Amino acid sequence: MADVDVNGDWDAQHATADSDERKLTTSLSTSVLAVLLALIIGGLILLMSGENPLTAYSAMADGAFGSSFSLGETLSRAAPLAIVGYGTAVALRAGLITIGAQGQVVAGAIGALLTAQFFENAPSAVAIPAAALGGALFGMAWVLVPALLRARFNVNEILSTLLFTEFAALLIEYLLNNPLKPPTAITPQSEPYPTNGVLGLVVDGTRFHFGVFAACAIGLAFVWWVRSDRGFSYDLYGENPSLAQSLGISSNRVIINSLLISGAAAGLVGWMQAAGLLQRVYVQIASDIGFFGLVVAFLGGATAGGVLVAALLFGALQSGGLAMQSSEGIPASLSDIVQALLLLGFSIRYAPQIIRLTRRVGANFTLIGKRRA
Amino acid sequence: MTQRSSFLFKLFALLTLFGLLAAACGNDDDAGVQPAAEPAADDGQQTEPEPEEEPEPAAGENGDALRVALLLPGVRNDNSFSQAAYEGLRDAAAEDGNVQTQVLEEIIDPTDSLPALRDFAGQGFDLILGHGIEYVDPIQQLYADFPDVAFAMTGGILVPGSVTSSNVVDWLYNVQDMAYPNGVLAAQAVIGDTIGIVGGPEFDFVKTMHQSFRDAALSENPDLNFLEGFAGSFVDVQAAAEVTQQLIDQGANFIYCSGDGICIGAAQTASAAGIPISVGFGSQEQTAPDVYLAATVIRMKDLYLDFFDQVRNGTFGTPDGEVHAVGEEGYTFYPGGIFNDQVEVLPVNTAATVDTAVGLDELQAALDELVDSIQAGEFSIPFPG
Amino acid sequence: MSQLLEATFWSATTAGGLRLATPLIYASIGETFAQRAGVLNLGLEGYMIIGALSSLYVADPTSAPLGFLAGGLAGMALASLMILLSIRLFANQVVVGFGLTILGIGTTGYIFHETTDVGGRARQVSLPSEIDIPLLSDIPWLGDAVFGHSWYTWLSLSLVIVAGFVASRTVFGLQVKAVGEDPDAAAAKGVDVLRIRTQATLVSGFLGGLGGAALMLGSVGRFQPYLTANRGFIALIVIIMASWSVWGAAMGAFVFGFFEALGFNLNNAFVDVPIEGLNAIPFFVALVILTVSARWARMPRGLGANYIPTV
Repeated sequence: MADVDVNGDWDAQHATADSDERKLTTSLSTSVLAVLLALIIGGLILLMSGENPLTAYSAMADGAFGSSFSLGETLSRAAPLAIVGYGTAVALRAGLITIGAQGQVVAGAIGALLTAQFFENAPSAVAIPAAALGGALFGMAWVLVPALLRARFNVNEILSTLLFTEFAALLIEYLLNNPLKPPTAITPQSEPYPTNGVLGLVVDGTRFHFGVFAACAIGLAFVWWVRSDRGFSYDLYGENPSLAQSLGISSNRVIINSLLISGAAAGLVGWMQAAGLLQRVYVQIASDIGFFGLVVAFLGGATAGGVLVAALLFGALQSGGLAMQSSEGIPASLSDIVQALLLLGFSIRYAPQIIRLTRRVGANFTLIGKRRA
Repeated sequence: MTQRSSFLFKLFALLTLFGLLAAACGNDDDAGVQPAAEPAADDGQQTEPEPEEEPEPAAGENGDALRVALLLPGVRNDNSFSQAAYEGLRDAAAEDGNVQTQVLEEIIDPTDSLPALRDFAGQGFDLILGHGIEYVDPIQQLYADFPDVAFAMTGGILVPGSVTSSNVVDWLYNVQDMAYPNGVLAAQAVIGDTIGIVGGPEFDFVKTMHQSFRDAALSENPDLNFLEGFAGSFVDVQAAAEVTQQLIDQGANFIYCSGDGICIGAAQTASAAGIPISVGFGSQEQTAPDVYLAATVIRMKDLYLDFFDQVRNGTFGTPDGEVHAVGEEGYTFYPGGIFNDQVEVLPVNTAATVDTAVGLDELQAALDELVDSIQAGEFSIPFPG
Repeated sequence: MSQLLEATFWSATTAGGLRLATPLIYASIGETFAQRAGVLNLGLEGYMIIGALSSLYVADPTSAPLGFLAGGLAGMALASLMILLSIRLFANQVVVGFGLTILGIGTTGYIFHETTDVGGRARQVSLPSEIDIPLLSDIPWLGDAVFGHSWYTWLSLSLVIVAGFVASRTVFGLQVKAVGEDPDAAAAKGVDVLRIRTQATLVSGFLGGLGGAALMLGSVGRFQPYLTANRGFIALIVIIMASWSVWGAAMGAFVFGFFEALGFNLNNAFVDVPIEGLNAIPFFVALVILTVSARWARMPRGLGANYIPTV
């Protein structure tokens, strides 16, 4: 390790890694054009459906940024996406794709609820951090088996984490239909989240709760991680596992730790949603945060700034998409189409670090496979 | 560094562009109508900082029309729970003649239900109908901020911890009414002695319906056997079809499907096997005209008409205007069931060609007798368990 | 409990497994080609649901075979967006995949929403009859389990043979493998990497669409939003479980379907076991298979990474 210069900036270090003569076809103008095209196609579809695209898009913008409530919505949707994105990014940088954040969010929500119920009579100063910790631990627990399987038996983590997402979905359905359900309820949901553990609002009349600041903390932690010795060695492992191992970096440790970090982040999101946004645990507590968090991590190139921007973009897209339905009467499915088109539009951008990320995942996996074979 | 800054620059450029575009469109549209933030009704507390959109008066006529919003967990043409509310509002509005409606579909994620409700409340709707348990918690969180908006929780199922107040009421239907008539029908129609029951997810209220169905069938014929299967969700039609097939393979001579979109799969499979079927929450006559016999549905029109009147003459909400929690005296809910026609037993499908133990007219007579005895107050369907 | 000892229980479960596996077989075989070529289609769910809707909307006024074909073409149309965005414009495959899934679900939901009047007639087909294979269908146990299925199932089984041959014995199959393993080396040998990846993705879209069509025309017959209920993602599970082999994918699809059917069937035998536990069985089996097969599993090395040609 000692002979490796650690200046901490992942991008700067790898900026020339792609210096071979690839054709860089996607320029800024292409990216802008793609988004414009997405807006135009979406507009045409709206027009054909008898909607006014201008009012629809303006309702979307209003719903995302138009008022303090809308801004609060955008932030409170962006925060969990950013946290999942950062957690996933840690794994991605180490060459691991985890699709399991969805299940870890669910596990985190269960963990937070159980912890909060345990500390029901404790002062908030105890109950809130305890529940956050409980959520993070449950999130970690939910990725532990896939992490161990990957480290020990080289079991593909894309699939094992996806399977654990299914297990989480079934587990929460079982728990909310049985032990965690209020005795008088006949539909699946928990008791209200204990009031001493509820996160307060930053701005009254919005849903901008204090949990949103957890995203800032995680973002800073991510910046620190990327610049730290250990973060660097994990990066190195992701880039070139055999080199990293020859430098004494333990493959098992990288795999297990980076997956556990991603699990903890997702678990924390489960806590945030239960204690901050919804104040009750539902079967759909995770919405699609886990999946979109993965998209955010990729779209943001697994960098601190990129994930933040991508998460804000998604938060805005989601709250705006909903506003388009409620104020313009546009069906949910049509709003989905418009949102999907915009997502596809934003996907067109040249970012060498993203391409390297995906390339390293394959290389990494095969190398380990070969070695064991 | 250059890599990241150029990437960030690009994304910010895109965002700005997107924002600008949308803002430009927005200005275009809102030009002129920009009401100043109104002074808060309750002085100070919970002022809405942003200017709410002015409710657009329906051009010319109906200037004083009652504005009603309906939120649905599914699509309006789901042939089931959501469709019942949609049809109820459509018919009630047509009968009333002075109601302006807006329907918002597919709001099932609890993250989405609060902002959607709040948007409607902010738009100045007079009455907001939240047709699903998804809307109970958000309504509880919102009602105090919008004292001039009437909220009706019409999910039909009691959610512990909810309250009613001067602008919130509840509607609760008898879950057992949705299933019991099917049981009476099944016991009479089945040739053989085994009945298959198909459900979506294994929720308590689904299990309650199944139990009520069994109670009814056994009260007619104590020798019946039951097979039961769950598809695991309300949307997985293929799973429901497979569950139905398995029940038929195990000897079911009659299928009862307890509800929602999955019953399409049950009806198709029953039709292919030539086994009669009855359904909760909506007819499958279209899907399987040969084997479908009857179904129960909810009817919301009368309730909605009541709500319209109450909102107009200011009698909506708890009679004393106070807040009452579930279980307290004064918790204001409107019960629905066969007794007040808010649960309807659809007439037996006379086009059915499937073999039944007794004739279709006898089945109809049995159902009529049940409904009549309930409406005459002689019988009420017991809540199972 | 006692029905577990009866042969009919197991023949019914096997038959159910094959029915549930049919759409998965189409989808996972197609996706196997794409992934062997290095393209990760997380949009498979989208291909399936758009295939399901299109097949119904064509089959209702015309005939089932035409509808089936239309389902494949619709899946291919959505896959061509994957080709444009990810293969030609180098957009991230995971991002585009999720985008296409949302686009597929949104588009089908919207078309259904706008074309079906409340209370009016919904488009619909009746389920196909089972095709019995003479003699074989009369074998006592096996006949019930294996030989009484619709032509969608028979076609999917024949497809396995054809696809297995194409994947391992044809130039195209070898080129697919080459561009998925090491695109640079393949390009150096004169293989047009982008063209092969494009073709493999089209195959994936077509078969994904056929999978949706088989689900629609073979076992449902009428549309509902979200109808495919994550079966596209289950097909992805099946492929990884099968270590990217065509035969393995078909086997994996059947194993998955079998244990899903078993879960449904055990519901009766074990009333006290919550349904959620029974529904977890196929996923648990997948985890076990995955762990065992990890010893020899080899992911295509270029999977998920876009190939940018050198100037």
